[in-house]
Amino acid sequence: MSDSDDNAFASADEGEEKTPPKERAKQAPARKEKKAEKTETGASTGSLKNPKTPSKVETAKGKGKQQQRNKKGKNCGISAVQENSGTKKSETKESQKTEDPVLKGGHPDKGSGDGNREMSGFEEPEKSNSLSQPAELSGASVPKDSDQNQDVGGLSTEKKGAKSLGETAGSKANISSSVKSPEEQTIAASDRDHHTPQQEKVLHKLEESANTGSSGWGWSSWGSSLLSAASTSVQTFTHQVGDGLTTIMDTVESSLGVPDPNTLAEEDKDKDVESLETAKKEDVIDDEKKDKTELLKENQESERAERKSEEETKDTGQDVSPEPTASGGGNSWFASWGVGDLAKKMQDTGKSLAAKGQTLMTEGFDAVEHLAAGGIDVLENIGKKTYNTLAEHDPALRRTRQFLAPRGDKPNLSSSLREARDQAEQQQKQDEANQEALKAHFGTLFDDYQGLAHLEALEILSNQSEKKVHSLLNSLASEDLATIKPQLLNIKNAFELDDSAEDAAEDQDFTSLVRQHLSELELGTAPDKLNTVHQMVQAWIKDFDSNDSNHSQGTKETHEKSIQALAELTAKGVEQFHKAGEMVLLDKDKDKDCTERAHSLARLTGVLCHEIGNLSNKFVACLNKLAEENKSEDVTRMVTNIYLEASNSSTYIQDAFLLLLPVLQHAALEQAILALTSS
Amino acid sequence: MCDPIFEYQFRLILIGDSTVGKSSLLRYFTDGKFDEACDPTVGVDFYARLMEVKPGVRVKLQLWDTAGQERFRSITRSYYRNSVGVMIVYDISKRSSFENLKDWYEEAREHIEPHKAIFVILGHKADNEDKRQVTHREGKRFAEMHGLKFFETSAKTGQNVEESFAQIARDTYQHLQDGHIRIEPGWDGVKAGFARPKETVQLAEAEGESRCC
Repeated sequence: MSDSDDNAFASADEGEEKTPPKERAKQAPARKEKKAEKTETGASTGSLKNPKTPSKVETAKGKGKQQQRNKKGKNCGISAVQENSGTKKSETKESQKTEDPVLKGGHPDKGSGDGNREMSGFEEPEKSNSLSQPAELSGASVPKDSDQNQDVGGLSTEKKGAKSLGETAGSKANISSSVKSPEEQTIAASDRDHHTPQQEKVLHKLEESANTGSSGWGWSSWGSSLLSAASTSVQTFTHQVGDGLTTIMDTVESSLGVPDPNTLAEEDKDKDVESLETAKKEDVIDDEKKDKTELLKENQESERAERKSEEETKDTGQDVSPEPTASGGGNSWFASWGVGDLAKKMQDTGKSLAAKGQTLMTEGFDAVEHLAAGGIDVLENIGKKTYNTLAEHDPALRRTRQFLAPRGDKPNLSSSLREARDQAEQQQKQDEANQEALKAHFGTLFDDYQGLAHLEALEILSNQSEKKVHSLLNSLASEDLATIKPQLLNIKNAFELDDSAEDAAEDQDFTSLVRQHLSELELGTAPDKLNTVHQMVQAWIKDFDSNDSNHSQGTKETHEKSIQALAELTAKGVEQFHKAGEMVLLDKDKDKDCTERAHSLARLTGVLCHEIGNLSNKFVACLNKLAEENKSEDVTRMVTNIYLEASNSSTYIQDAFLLLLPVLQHAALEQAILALTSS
Repeated sequence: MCDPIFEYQFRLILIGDSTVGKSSLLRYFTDGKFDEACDPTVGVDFYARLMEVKPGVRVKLQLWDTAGQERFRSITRSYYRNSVGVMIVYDISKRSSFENLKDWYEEAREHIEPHKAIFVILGHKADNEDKRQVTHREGKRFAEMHGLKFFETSAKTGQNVEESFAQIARDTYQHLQDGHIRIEPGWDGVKAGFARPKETVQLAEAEGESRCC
């Protein structure tokens, strides 16, 4: 709920309306300042239960200055009062939570302000900056979320109801009781039950349609906002359906054709003043309560002022009370929608509205007849008006209908089936293409052969060794450092790879070279995996070469094979380096010179890189051969790709090799330190 | 537009005494094969498998198979830190491997901190019933005492192999969803999955630079 407050507040863009926080704070006592801020930033629902809420609202709004101006806003809507009284009973439990004794106590101006506030609720969602502000939260607040909107609507109407009760019935019981009486709750429940399913349905539809799409308040989205307001109002009305019927339907019907709503409103006002004075007396007993009431009063007055300015800009008829406008909108809209008997229902609603007023009369209110008559009259009047307003911007309500009507362009079964099939086919094709691409994707293959994992693990070791080297160097005495430093530099020099790549075209005895260099390392690691992969690759190439003209493999397969071979060989090479690094760190044989090992590893790197280059040449040769046989095929891109990946491959191997530098230095340092301490 | 092959990569590490069957377990889990003969692991080895943690969500389990031999301890310790899941394996037919559980657990926890990891205790070689030296109850009690999940597994029969990995993957995923575990720079326990290439071979770009650090 507080969210919706925020939304509403955020949507306020008129600078005049929105008092800056500072100003607000000025008007508020220090104690309330905090609360005002809290409200602004989205007061929690819990805070709504706080009896101080009215003051919060006041401070948040800070419209006290406008009080004077507001006094004239006595424009009173009968139907609004009707609604108020009715809605109170049809309350949901959310609103019960927020029920505030002080609100119920009300104050003299409330009655006269009601009609206006209805309007303001309808037109000015930006006012709804606090849930505890009674009238402003009516359903017209910009509906971001339909549930929320509903809640808020209910809440606001509850507040209105509470107030009008205060006005009319002298607010006897409610002033002091902070919790809603059980009877009221039961009534609420029964009211709900009285909704006819049809009504429910229509209302939901209305609300949903109205809520979707309209995210901002403004003239551009006015149509939808109006409808949202209308639906809310209609809902409020229908809350009363049945309740009135069961009690005083007859009275209501007999009362048709009695005085003008405005006259009635005047009467109401007088009564309100009386009742609220009574309320005030009681409030004196409780200082805080009084305080709140006053604050609330100010707030409401300022609100009226706001409403007024809104009204001016929007040029809505002053004599028409806004709430009925909304419902009337619903009414005529129904009619235009072609649901004839809905119009009749609306009339029923009007009647039951009147009935609700009658219920109130039992508490000292004698204007029920006026209400009933007024309800019908006003409904009719503003129904027309609303239709006109809507139609003005939307000829024949075409857009509105399109907006609200169930989607006519629903795809039929066959087309959706076709769509699904097409999608599935496409998906399958894509998956296949994916699989194909993966077969020749070097990075993926390298990862699949665990080359990446070994590289990462080696990196972990390397980083660790580097740290260790630093800390060891720091701990050494300067003369010791001097003796060790040359060796570390030697190792480092061994890691300088000469870029003068030998002619990769030259074949080398890979297996024996690798074996030789690894045995020089004396680490006990065997190049089994590396050699196995290499032999496989060699065998494949040999097999390819032996078949002179009729190759079973296409260019695609050849390309895949070459990339895969490069990736696997690289992965195994990196693994070899990783293992070498691990063994260097674990090696117990302290006699072995690390510089020598570094050189051996450098040579191994050279052999591996040479082999990668050599193999890629061979694969390219295979591809070219295939291209010659099958002239139509263009293998240039594949050839480029192979060379590219071959260079990637060499980069990986060299990276792995370079990661060994700190590891070897680490090992060398430990050896040296061991030698130093033992000597 | 590429569909990621997997959403996340979880790095799991298997620790435990030498010859309890960590490599066999992983081999069974990734290849579905069981070998009686098996060379001792040198340092660390790697396995990987994709697994569905919930319908439509696949994660890649990168499995670090560490050497159990004492002489590799200093190396394997280095690898703890970057793991999000730890499976501590013991051999139900070898009492000492069970008794070392506590040491393994503490060592792993110590090295993983400040990061969080999911632990699972596995009593392996569960097919070896006639040579059993550790009861199921004992294993379960140890796990429960430390608030860990427990399985008795066998790479020979495949008992609970799938379940135990699925469990740790799901738990990790859940922790990730709940925010207890996060993808952090400088920590490789969990990595975001990547979209594998959709483009055809000819369009394939250089991948060398994109390698992770």
